[in-house]
Amino acid sequence: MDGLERRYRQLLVAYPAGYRQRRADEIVGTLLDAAAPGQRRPSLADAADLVAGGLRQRLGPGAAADLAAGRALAGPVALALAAGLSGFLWLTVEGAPGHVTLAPAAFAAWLLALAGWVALPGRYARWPVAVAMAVTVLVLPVAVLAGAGRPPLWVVLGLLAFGALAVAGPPPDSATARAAVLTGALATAALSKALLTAQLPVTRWSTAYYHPAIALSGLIVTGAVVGLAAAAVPALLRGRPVRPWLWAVLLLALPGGWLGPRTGPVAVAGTRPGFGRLAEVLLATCVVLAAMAALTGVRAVAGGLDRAGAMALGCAAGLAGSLWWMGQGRPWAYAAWLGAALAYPVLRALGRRLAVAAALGLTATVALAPAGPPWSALVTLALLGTVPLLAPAGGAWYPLGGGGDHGGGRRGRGRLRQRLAADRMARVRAHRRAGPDTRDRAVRGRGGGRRAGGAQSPVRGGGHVARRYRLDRRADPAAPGCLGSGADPRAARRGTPGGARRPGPGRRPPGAGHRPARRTARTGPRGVPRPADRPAPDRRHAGAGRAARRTGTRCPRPAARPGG
Amino acid sequence: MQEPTFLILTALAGEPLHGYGVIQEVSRLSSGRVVLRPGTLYGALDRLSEQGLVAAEREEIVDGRLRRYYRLTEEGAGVLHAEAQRLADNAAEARRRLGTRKAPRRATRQAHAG
Repeated sequence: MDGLERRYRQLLVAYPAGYRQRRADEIVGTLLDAAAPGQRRPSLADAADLVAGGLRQRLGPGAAADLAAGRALAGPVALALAAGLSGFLWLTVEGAPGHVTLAPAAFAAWLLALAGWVALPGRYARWPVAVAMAVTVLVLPVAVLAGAGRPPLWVVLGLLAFGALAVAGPPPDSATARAAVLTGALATAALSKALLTAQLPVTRWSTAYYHPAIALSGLIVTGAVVGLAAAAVPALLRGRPVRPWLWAVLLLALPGGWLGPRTGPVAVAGTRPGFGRLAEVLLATCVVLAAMAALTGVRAVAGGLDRAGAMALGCAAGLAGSLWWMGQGRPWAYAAWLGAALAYPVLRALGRRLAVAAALGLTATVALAPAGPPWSALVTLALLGTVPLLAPAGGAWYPLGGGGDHGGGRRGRGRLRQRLAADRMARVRAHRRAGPDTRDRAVRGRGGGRRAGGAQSPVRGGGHVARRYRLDRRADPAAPGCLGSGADPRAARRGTPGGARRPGPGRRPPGAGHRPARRTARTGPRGVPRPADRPAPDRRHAGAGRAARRTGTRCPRPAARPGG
Repeated sequence: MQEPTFLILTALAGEPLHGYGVIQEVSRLSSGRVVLRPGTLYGALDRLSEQGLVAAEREEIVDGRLRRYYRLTEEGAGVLHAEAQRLADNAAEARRRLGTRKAPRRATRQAHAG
């Protein structure tokens, strides 16, 4: 497998595993057919197309269409928000004395992107947005190298996400759309500024760089998201599809959750930073992703909620630990969080709920006590604590692994292993049919070489058993009990090469309907010709052989491989 | 019916084609205007297969690459025929109306100037 094919296959990970197993060879074949001679890497357009195709496949046709419609709704709003926030931050925060960062470069790029979107013809309207995204990314390393200040990471990420939405959205198709986006951007900036002046005197916000400003911009973003959700109501009342609106809301809520609004008090210079910022961001992200999963009708929501619960509990324990360490309030409340997190892997569903509920209750008593820790920390703790309570009973996932009471993690790994093995076998089969020139590559790909010969089974350790078994057979072909008499029931069940070939009367292995290994189908192991009176047991393969002959290749007899 | 879908069905109308064959044929049919990429193509083929308009016919291995051929089903041929008829009717009507159009003098002069 050359570099190009490997990269194409890496991109195909965007598709669901089952689909990949069925179609990957075909799609990769078409990609290689379409590749220019000497091409080493997938083109950007092909890569984007594959990832989008995989996403559509994962979502299913209906949800994919809804998502596309929602994307079209969200794109212009995202651009208006990004440009409006950039203008606001540039004018108010960057103007404050003592704060010199490189952020204005990115902000200017966003304002130019807005101008480009409004003024340029539709075909080129989205290019300035892509440029603004590139500038925003570049500001970070340049700021580090130049020793200058950089904008906060959440602002950068939020701007990038808005930009991605704008690029994925439609180009402007009418003067109305252009005017609406321009108005939206101006309104965002003006509202943020109005909120800032109404709430705080200049002297206070200028001492803490982004804190009040970001909180207020986050409020505006939240307002936009809520507004979009409200716009879904008329659609609902008129019986129009609502899901595109919901998708648009969720798409905007994701970066919106990163920006704020913060629950914390305004941080003043010299005091500690607000608590739980990362936890809030993670929580918002989890909530949005869970809502998206619910919207697609993905079955794995329960599992996802289970994992989110475990993660949220871990975050809560970390936050409680830091509060304890800093001497904030009553230590036993924090100890309850740490205890709940530690006991989580060994407890059953009810025990987990009780532990978390106890920690929540103790946190409430801390909140009632005077001179406790900041409210933001307690609210964050409470929010994080509700997530594991929402998780379905009987889940078994735990971030540290190993402790699951149902062995869910272990089974999960087994499934992955099975999928990988099946994937490999499918490829080997395809290449087997292909002919001698490609076979070598196929078998060597992904280290499947030794197993490819005979081990049908994806079960762990199957290769060893099958190999040992074949060695036994070679040593003494007439040895009794190689099959069916207890040499290795697992090998017999799987129909290892020796097993399926054995000519004993009526000695079919249990489960003989199981497809025998490929090598047996053609020649038997080690290249021994099949007895003439025994027809090839696998018709499908015979058909494949015909297909291969038709295309001018031939089915090779497998060469003996060392160690196989 | 969207244009890429129409072009894919048209490409398959003559003879069965594999994925890359469809890409080439669609590009030729549209004079290079519509460039199908594999992610889009297979999404469309899956959808059309589900609707029963195309069906996988046979597989070949060439240079170690799996090529699956798709053909237009009878149902697909019917749908394509109806769509082609609709487009032809639209085009004929447009031509007929353009033929009856009285060209205003000013517009004619602008066209000459441009």
